[in-house]
Amino acid sequence: MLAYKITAPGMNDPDAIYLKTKIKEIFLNDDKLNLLQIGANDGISADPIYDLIIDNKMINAYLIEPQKKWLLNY
Amino acid sequence: MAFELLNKNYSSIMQDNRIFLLNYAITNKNEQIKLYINNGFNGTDGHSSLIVRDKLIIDNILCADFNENSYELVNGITFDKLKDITNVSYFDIVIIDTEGYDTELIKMMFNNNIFPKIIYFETPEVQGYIPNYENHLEYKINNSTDIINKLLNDNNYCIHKLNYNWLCIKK
Repeated sequence: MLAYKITAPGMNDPDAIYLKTKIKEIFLNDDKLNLLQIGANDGISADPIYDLIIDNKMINAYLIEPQKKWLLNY
Repeated sequence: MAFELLNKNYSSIMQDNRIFLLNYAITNKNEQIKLYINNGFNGTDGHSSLIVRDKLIIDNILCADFNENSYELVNGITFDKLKDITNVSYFDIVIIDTEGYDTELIKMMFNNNIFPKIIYFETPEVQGYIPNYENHLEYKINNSTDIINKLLNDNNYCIHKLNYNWLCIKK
């Protein structure tokens, strides 16, 4: 099956929940973490970790996104 | 999609000085590069790609519809340049969602001696090509699962294949 969803997955997608569970298992609460997100989009839509980045103040997040605007707004 | 919206959506914690927004595409050259636009369903709000993806139809819906003439120019940077800009040489977690360019990025990352504890990216099945490939690593993007499996295994990653993503943890 192709890994393509017509509707965007988000923070509550099962894959995203599993990712966040693993992050919490592997790293301690007071670990300072550098997180790199390549293709951050708008930060929320289809984003697995927006809530984690907001809540965990030990995360330094480097968010890369090339597209300047939603093209629908042009 | 939307660097401007990214800025807005993180505005509530920007004062913490731990969110760094970078309006770039990571690639193998520090120069302007074409970001191809998806003209398919819902494509304009975030499914652009550095590759011209193969056409994809699911349930009679045209999900991916790229062509060489539909693009915007964006600023490309290498991992080396990214390290210079951020002054960070190690990332603990890397999350990639680049509509088919993920495998290329993982190769570049390893070539730059970046081996994060966690890598998370979309299942590598999207296919496509890079026009004018002489400036790039590959012409035909080969997202074969065998190739990416080997790359990750050779670099001591344990792969968790999820519904739509791979979660890879450094052993």
